Amino acid sequence: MTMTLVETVTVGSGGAASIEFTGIAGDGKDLMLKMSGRNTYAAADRSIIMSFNGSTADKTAVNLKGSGSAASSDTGTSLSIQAATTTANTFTVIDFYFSNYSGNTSKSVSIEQATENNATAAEALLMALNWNQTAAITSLGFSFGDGNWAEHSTASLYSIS
Amino acid sequence: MEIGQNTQPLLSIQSVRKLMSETPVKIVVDLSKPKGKRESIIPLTQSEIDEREVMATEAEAQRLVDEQAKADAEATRQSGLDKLIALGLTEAEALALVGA
Repeated sequence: MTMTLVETVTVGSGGAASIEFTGIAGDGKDLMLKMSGRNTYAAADRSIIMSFNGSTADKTAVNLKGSGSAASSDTGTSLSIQAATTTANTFTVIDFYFSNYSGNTSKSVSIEQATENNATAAEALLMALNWNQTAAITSLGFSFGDGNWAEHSTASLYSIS
Repeated sequence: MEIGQNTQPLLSIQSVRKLMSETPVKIVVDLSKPKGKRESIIPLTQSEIDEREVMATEAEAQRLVDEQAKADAEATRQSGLDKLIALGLTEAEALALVGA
């Protein structure tokens, strides 16, 4: 297995409403995306709006969550990261693994996420997500309805072959 | 009014800069381009800003659905626990059965 860094993005001052990777070549087997992110909105967390080829539809998921004091499971497709009221200068870590991204079956994505917060409210999450469309993934987008990606947020896309 | 008569700018440079700084931007990484020329920082168009507001509403609705599902699951779990305790199990025994 070869893991090749395709590109890294670092959000500059002023933030960014979305991070988009476009023109993803179909020459790899799988994709991995490693993010370190924070939202600027004045709340504890905000949901990432994730798009495949510009589409935010046709997603299903199952989740296992742990807060440090309780565990839970649900089928929500929203993926939250920490926002402005959490401990300053802390970022949520998220790893995405997109299996067989250029194939012609629905796309499976495994996601690991952990928030960092010097307080009782923090969360670790395992999500198994399915994007039920058969097109090869050629673009990925990560945006918010409220707030922006904070400065110093990063996203690194890797190709696995 | 003839062209050139209005000496008052409609917006000051500072105002324009402020407006530009308030316009949300997106970072687009076009991987079809050579390294070093891939990243663009692009102000959102008005239609993208409008779409963002729609997506915010949808995301909030989805978050509420997810929260309700979580609350329902917890309520079902607690109901089960209460019934087990009503059958005579201690709370510790009931928790051991369903998982703490």
